[in-house]
Amino acid sequence: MDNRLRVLRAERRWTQADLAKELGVSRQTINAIEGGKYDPSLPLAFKISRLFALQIEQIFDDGETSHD
Amino acid sequence: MTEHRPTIKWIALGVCLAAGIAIGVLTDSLSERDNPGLFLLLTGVAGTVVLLPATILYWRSLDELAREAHKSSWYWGGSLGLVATLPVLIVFIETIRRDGLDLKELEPEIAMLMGVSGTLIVVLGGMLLGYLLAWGIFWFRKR
Repeated sequence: MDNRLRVLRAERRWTQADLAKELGVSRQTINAIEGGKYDPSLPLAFKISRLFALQIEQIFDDGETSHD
Repeated sequence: MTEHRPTIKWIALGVCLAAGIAIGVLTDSLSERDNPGLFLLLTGVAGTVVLLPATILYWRSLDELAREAHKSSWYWGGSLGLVATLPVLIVFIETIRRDGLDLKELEPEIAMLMGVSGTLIVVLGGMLLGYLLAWGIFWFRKR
């Protein structure tokens, strides 16, 4: 699943370790999510969306979201 | 949601390692004990009392991806490792038969112990190797 996590993190000048600490996960987990190699659980996706004050659809794209 | 707590993880792993070494040392002194059966039972119970909470703490200290790595490795590595031991067991049995090692010549208890422990070592060893391999592949693919 594509996502904008790397961009959002870079905008705030956070390192992967910073973001991992904020979310209570390991840096490896952040790296895997950013690389699209791991889709986070729903609770973690909500936590990410709350941290960036965005809706989940604005961060994650499953390829089926309408962009009209 | 599961929380990544590295300090607790390493403490729990350290406790498991220390308990494993202690159990190994105590079991090694089995022949010197007056009542080896009771001693082994007490060692097992004490080991469980220490290891059970340590493994629960370890699991709770992992975040969701680390848990996923263990679950995936347990299923794929453990299962395929188990299947892979079958040819080894067949070769093991065939070697015993061909080389003329007649288990009937041994004391029944010794023969049973050899058979059970040999099979356990091969099967658990295969599963452990499969587990470690699958765990490494999981993290390699997620890097």
